[in-house]
Amino acid sequence: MNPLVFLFAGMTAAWLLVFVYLAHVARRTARLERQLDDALRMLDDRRTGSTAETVGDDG
Amino acid sequence: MRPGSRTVVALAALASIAVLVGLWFALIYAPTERIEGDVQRLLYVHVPAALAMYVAYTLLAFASLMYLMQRRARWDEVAVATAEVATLFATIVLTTGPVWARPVWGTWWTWDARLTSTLLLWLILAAYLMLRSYGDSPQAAARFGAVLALFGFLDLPIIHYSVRWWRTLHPDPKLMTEGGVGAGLAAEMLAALAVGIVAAMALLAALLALRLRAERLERGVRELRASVQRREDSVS
Repeated sequence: MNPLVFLFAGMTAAWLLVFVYLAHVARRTARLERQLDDALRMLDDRRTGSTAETVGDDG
Repeated sequence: MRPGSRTVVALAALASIAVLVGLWFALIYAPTERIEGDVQRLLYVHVPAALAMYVAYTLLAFASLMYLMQRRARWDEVAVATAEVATLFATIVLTTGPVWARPVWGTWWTWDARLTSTLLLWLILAAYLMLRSYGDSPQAAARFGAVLALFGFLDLPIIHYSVRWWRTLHPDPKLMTEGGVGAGLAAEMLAALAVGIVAAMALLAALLALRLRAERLERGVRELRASVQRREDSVS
């Protein structure tokens, strides 16, 4: 078989591995960023809720 | 932009440029090898990937040692991130190697010392990652993982010196030879290999920064959730 076929196969495999890994980490990072935003929002809601409750109790 | 994003973007841009230049050197600038032909150009990916694997594994072993000594979460984050990136480079080495071996040696794989010890390192890394993802107790998994990583570090000198210690099909090192650095290569080939190594190191740095950022985000989410839970528990 032509050596160029092996060169092409080797190069393609190497860069495919890098791109698949990059896509995996990028997707994971995006999911974590969403989860972090949700958790921050939840914490904020709880804080606002408890403040409102305290004010309500006083009033 | 979130904290840490700027560093990742800058490193990714640098790595992209370095990789493109590296590819140009490997596929166009470097001359065709007389005996092996064009398939020898895989050297410019295979050897830099192997060096990146050594560097990443050394970082993993160092972070593991520091974690065992100091028990700081930061070292464990570095260890997990480097283990994944080291696995990627080890996989590239174990993929490009057989593809290069087939036309040159006439076989995809042979159980010689260099190939077997590299496969052993890959298996140790796979075991490390499985241990970290299935461990019920994160602290215990971090501790056992660190011990496993340090044990695996013993395989690095075996991989490197295997071609000198045993008779193998794998050729002697092309870069660090007994005749000096790069004495076994023509000047243009050595230049292409040097650029390939710089590109692999830039890629390693970018991937590590990206993966480390994900690891820190994950820890942040976990801590924030625990904080919300604690707040809810204290309210009820």
